[in-house]
Amino acid sequence: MCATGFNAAAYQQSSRTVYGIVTEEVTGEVVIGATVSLYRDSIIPGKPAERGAYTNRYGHYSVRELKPGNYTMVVSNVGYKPYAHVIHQSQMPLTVNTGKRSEDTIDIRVDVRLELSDINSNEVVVTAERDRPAIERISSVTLTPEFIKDMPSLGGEADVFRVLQLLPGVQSASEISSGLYIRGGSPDQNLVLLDGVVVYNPSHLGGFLSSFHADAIRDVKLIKGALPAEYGGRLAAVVDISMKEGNKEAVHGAGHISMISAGIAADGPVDSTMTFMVSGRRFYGDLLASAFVPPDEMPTYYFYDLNLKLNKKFGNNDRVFISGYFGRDVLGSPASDYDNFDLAWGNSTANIRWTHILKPELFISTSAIYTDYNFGFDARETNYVDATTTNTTRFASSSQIRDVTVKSDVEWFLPNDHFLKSGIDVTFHRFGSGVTGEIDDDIDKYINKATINALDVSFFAQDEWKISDNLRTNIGGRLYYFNQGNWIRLEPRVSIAYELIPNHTITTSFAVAHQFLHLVSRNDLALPTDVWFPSTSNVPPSRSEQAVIGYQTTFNEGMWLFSIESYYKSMSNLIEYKVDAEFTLGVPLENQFTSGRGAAYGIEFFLNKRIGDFTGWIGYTLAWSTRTFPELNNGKTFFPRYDRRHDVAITFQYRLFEDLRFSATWVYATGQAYTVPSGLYVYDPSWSGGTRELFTERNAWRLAPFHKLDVSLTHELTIFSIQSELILNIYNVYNRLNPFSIYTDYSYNFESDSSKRVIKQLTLFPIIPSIGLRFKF
Amino acid sequence: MKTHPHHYEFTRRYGFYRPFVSVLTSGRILVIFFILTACEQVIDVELPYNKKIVVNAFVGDEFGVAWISRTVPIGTDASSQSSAIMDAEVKMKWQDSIYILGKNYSSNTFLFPTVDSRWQGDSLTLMIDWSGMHAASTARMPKPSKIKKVYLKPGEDPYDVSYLYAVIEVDAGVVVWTDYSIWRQPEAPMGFGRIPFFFEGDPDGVMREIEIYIMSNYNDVQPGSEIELSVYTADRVYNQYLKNRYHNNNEPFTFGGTNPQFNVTGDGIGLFIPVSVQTQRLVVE
Repeated sequence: MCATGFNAAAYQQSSRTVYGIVTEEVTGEVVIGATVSLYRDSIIPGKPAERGAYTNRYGHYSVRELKPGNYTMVVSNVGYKPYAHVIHQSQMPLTVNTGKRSEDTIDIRVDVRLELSDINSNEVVVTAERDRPAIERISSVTLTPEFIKDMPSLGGEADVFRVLQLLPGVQSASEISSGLYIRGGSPDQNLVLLDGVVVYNPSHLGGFLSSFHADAIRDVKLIKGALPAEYGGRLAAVVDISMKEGNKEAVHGAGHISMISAGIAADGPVDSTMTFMVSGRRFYGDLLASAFVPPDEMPTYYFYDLNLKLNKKFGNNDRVFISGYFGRDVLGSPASDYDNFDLAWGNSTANIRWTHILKPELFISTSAIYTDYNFGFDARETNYVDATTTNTTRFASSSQIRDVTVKSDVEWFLPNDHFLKSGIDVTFHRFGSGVTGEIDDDIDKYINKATINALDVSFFAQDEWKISDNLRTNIGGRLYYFNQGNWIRLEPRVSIAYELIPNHTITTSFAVAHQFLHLVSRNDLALPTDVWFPSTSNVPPSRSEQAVIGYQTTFNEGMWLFSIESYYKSMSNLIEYKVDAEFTLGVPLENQFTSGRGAAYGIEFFLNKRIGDFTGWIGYTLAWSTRTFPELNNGKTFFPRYDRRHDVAITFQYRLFEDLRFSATWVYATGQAYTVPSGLYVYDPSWSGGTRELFTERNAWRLAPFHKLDVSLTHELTIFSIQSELILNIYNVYNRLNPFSIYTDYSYNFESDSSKRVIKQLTLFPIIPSIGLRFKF
Repeated sequence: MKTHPHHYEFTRRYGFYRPFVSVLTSGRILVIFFILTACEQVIDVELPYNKKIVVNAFVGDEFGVAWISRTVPIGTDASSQSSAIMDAEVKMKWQDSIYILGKNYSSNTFLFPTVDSRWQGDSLTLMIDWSGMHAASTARMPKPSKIKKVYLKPGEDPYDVSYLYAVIEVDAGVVVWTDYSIWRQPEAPMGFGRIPFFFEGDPDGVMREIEIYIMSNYNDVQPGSEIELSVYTADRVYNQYLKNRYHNNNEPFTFGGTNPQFNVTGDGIGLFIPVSVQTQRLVVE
């Protein structure tokens, strides 16, 4: 921890700005979202800080307009010991640059290093947390990778999205999916950012795992709706993930072996001004299986992901980050199969970013970004022409989205408690899709490919304004131009927080959002066959209008947070495939789409124990989500599959002993909305196979409720001088046979030599114990 | 308006659905992990029963049959015998004329009257009453398409097969499909097995000429050969049905199924399709 104070000469001036970077003591990594509070003279219980600020994603903060006097400066964040220092008039700065810019303004740089702490029950932290304005918490939650890693998980694989699914307002489509269905929106309506770069399909294993390796993550922030203007391009929510920058002091590493994958991450200094972080993860089931199954009889499946980040410091005010992500899933049939297929999909991203502190109150970030998502499918069917001759029919399809983005943002701390954020973002999108068919070994070919280029320009500005001690607002807007169709759209955004009495705040927000990129999904399949498609003159941008009203309170000295939020969101120009769509072949694809509208509304309750040996939350959501498409379901309104009337999650982590931690989650959700057979009919009596099923209206039936209990025990130990953690997970402790799907099938009766149509339920995951190992070096 | 011949063939072979479904149901998807843990069980659950009249009716020059049946609950046996409802009253209406369809108990079918050429270009309504339930469908019998010529088009390279095409004049918003005999002696029609071709056309009802693919020619047909070609023309509703008739899947990884797009309303499901037929003998150009 480094302590600093005011320059005595500067102190005589009328206005002061304190600014700097907050980093972690051991690693030197920046601390995101740390609270910087300046109390006049000293901390008095019940009296709020005179001035305050929060570090941005680069650890930068700035506090303006400090009047002459003594101050106690407190910098805190959950997971760290608080930095507290009495700043006295007579104190001279210790390690800071102090300069005079004008007659009226003194700039004082205070760089702070916070120490890690396991237990955060310190009174100062509590006070500072309590002082954090409620407007920062509207519809948003921040999670640390440590918390994520300690949660129970299937196969011991820590997964960011699986933990986010436990929050109120966030649903999962099924047990197999890590997709986030937030406040009635589908996963494509979420803006998923990895170090500011859009990741289009952030999943592995057919959607089972998210693409993000927990060992490489620094911070995860979820904003569930009514987004501030700084975020755009999606209707529903933001998942903003920051990667580690790299330890500035020494090379460190971490690794894990779960039942699903093994991964390793390392970070450290390159020199005194540069750090690195590299991580990799791979599914290893295929390698294990190869020991037992002949290679040509074994289907192929594996996934991997790689993260890399370099962080170079140029002086005190400039930094350059270079980061990249590469992930891929590969699936194929055994080589011995006559009819075989290959499937592959993956993301690649690269980002170079320059951040610059132009003035103490003015921070600039400029990035050049590349992101690519592609999906490919190739099926081959071999037919016998005669006893010795075969021919092959092949069908292959592909889709791709590739973006190149240049963006620049500024953060400006203005007088009178205004904090302005503004930025411009220019993205060039290239969408490609195609299909190739070959019949009888190239005798007949069918090739159809299409590419669409689109230019997307957006500008935003928002002002976080502390109008009074009780009233804060965030007012802003976002303006878009999308050249495919020449769409111009404006999005007003506003949030207001009013503290009725200390620690009791009501909040409200309203946001309009547009989405120019549509993930068009098949309703009937579970593969990542979905296609990203841009708005065109025939496909208008999707639009949502969301209003949120809430109440927040903290109690027991800030250890507990309780919030209620109610929301209503209307959506229009949502895109789905027509019922009679010709998948993939139907290029141009937009002819296969139909548009409709949606609505989502509900109320969320969240009780969160934030600090101490025992942490966790209880979340409950009562919600409705509907869709109405004139060309689907005969124009009748239907529930999407992920509509859940009731959704409950109870989760906690508890340190039993110094080296033993326990965590558990229990979830309950109303059953999936599902389409089931509601009768049989014979449609073509001349054909023996002419019996068909008549189905209900779309998703008109409910599967049985979903509930399960997961527990995890983490034992800290040292193996060969390596700090390790042995993790025992039990998934679905009471072996609830939750339905993944139901369907009709035939059951054969040997006694009567007849078969009967029966209804079957598929359960994916009964009770599954697993062990995992994590280690640090 | 031109169509690529292989569009039909690929659609026929795959329907652009089958590969994905075969991948999913082959037990390989979602990896060994899921396969090892997943379990299926027969469950005792009461699914809803939607009692409907089922209509399968085509009326045209060479055919005029309606199969009328009913849905039965899931878990009971459905057969053409047990689900047929021969006690239904089935009528067809054209303008002010009402025709009561006769019954053929041996084949469990209802029989349409002989086609009246005045029906062509006009709407027909089929009405079914059974056990207090009423189903109906109104559909247009398009004007018959006119065959202008039949000709061979060479393949893209010398070793490629050639393609037999026809130019026909069609009404707007119709489905056409062909049947042919390449020998001098005409063969029996192939029924509805061939892939229809949908012509959107202009909605003004003006007839247009279109080029339609008939078949790949493996040297069976030469210029000067004679061919008997039948062109069947139905309303666009048949095309809507054809495009999604195979979506009727209900499997573990397909999240339920969807019903085909029928044109029978009320207490019924199914199709009522009037078809105009034009048969001509032509010399291949």
